[in-house]
Amino acid sequence: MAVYIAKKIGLTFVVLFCAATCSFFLLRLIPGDPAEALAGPQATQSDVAAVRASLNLDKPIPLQYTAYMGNLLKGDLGYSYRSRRPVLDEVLARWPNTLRLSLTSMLVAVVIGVPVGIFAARRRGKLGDTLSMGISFLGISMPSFWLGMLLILLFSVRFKLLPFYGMDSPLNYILPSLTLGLGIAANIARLTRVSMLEVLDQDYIRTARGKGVSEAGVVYVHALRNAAVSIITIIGLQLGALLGGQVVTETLFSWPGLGRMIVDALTARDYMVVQGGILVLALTFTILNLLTDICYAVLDPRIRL
Amino acid sequence: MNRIKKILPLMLAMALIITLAGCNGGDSGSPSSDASQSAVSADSSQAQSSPTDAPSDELKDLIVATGTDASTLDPHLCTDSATEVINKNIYQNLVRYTAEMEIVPELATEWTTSEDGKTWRFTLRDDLKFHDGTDFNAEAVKINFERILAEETASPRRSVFAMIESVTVVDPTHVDILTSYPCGSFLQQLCHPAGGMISPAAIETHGIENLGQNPCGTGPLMLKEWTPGEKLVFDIFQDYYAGAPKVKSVTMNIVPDSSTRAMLIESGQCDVALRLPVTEIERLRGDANLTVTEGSTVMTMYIALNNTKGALQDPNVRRALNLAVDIDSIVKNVVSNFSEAADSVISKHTWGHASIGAYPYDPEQAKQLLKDAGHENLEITLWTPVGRYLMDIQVAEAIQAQLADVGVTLNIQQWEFQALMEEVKKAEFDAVLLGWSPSTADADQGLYPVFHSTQHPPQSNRALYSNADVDTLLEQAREEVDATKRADLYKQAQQIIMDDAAWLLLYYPNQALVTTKDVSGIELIPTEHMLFANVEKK
Repeated sequence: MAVYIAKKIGLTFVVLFCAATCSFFLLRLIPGDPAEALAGPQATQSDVAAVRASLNLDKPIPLQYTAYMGNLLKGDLGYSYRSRRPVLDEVLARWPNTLRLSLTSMLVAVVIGVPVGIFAARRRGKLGDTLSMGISFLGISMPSFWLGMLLILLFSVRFKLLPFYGMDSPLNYILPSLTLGLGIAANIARLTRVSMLEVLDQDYIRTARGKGVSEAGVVYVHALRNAAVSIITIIGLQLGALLGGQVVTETLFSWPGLGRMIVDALTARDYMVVQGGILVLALTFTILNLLTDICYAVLDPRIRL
Repeated sequence: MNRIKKILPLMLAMALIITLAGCNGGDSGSPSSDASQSAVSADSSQAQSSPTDAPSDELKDLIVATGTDASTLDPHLCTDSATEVINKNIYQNLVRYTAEMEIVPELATEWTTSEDGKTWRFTLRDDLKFHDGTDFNAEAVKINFERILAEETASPRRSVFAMIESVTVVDPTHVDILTSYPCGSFLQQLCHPAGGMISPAAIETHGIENLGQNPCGTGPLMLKEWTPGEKLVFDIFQDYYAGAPKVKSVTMNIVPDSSTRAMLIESGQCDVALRLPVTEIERLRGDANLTVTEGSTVMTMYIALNNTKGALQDPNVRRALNLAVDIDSIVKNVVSNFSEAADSVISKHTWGHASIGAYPYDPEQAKQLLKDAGHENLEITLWTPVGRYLMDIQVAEAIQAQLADVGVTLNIQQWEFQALMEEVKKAEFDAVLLGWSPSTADADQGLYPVFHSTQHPPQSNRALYSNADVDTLLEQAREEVDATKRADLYKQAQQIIMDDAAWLLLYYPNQALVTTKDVSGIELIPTEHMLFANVEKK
């Protein structure tokens, strides 16, 4: 396993290099000039030229690229064009917010999704199964902005039970976590159901039952553990998607997260912030993948890393 | 019973999430407080007290919901209007605009000009201190203008003060500013937010890189903490010369979604909501607990017709397009009267505005002009940004329908704003929907960059308009210090530009501010700034 982890860490550097390179060049392919965007539509060309020079954007692109990569090696992500703050500070101010919201959303998803999936599997073909899978289908289909609006209208505006703005209290996490988590819960529920059904048909389950293991023991110990590998896979993937893809929810709940920062920076053509944000997301994603792989090995001793 | 057993763990789990989230919330501050800026701290967000807790005789916290985070609180580097609104309350200029667009003393008490109109002597207030306790004086004025003009500052607003040749300290309360030409719009230039005076001590300490996070001016608001993407908290500057605002503090919460901002003010969770869309404002007007304050701006919305391309080279074709569009109907039906039909290329609050009169809505005459010009089946493409201006797409579609009535086919092409600005520089478009807001609120900034023939793309004359007479008038007016003569020169220029129909002229959009009934005293300036100096919360 140690060799595997070492290899994975080596690979992480390759991924980061590729992410940095791709984001650097792709951004420069988008029409729009950062100096012009910063100076605003009323600036004179001499003002724009001064800004361009101060941001080193007047240098040839290959030179800008080598300077950027050189700074990266030193751990310097550069400065934001717009705020002139170090990009690392900008990213670190928002990354924990995104991470926390992703984790609470995933908790919502798992806590709702797995039990519903098990429940449906045990009542295959009965009313409970049809009902819970019907509802989960609804959950998958609902766009997050719509669900978020609905939750705000119901719990904040109508019943005034939960806040929809700010992040000072734990209550602030409930609505955004539900908005993001419910859709994933629906996915997890469907997958859990399928995996459980597959496992529950296996011979060793029949053996366990034959040995007189209680029904709960059969379901939660014997079956769930074997179904868990595929559930872990989807959790790992969805968590990755959550980290980068919550722009809409972050906007709706005024959540100062990484996704919104990247989109705002892109609108202002603040290349450095976009590149820094992508880099941190890529790093988080590869670490998540590694953790998922380790979880496999822990859950299923047959898997050797 | 069995069902309840199944649901119970779920509810327990939800309780667990809430607790866990709380635990996470506690240590949220550490990553950002590691960072070097002292002003930034996420932890103190919990210290914010609820505005309703305070006893009635004590000052209260003012909560403002705004759409975007500030970029840089360095007025010499700031370029976006959302941040200018904040900077205008941290910093002050030598002179400023009132809501009626009169120029009144701010840091200077009076001023005189030399015979040749090139030297301006300002008498400064002698009782002023910066937030850091240092004195405001003539030396500070000199340091500030030299900073904005210095090459190493690379200020994107250098051109606003480019006419300044030198600044001389006469004594601590008198300063002479020498301009390279007799600048007719000099006082207007001085009102620009980039002319905000920063404490020389802060300039020295923080340099160009860090002043943006450590602002220090003479204005009523002092930055206390700034959590990027979340909020800015301001203390009140108790030594503010005109008397401190009657609130305990001002918190600007960054709420990017406009419907969320509307819901916040409706539910009483904030006291002031900025930049609400017209649809929300219309709805909130009916709320008895809220006050909607509407005001004009210095912006003109227009369609730049490419004066050098195809049929659009013919002034009669451009006139026909102006005649074919019913601006009053667009103002009434598309932008819900949240604008005023334009009667000249610069707005009513811009210094030098002359009421020339718009082209009347006359589709018959438009058809005739097009027929005479041999362009009965004219087809043009209109480029428009998406969501940049008030109802931009809807306005473009309304114009498309009206032009169809006179046989003109208008194809609409939508753009992301920065990509549009890049593409417009190539000057290959037919027509493009834009807004022009002269930041000094003066005709020089309102006309010269957009109509002078030396200003063609990549500069701002996006209609590629050229008229030698207009060029001469604009040049003369720029160097005319006699206000009456200058106004007359601008009137002539506006008349010619309207006769030439350089633009398809649209309207002057409004701005609005929504507050609760408890809040009063916020001054709304047509340059889209708002001053909190006299704000009061009951």
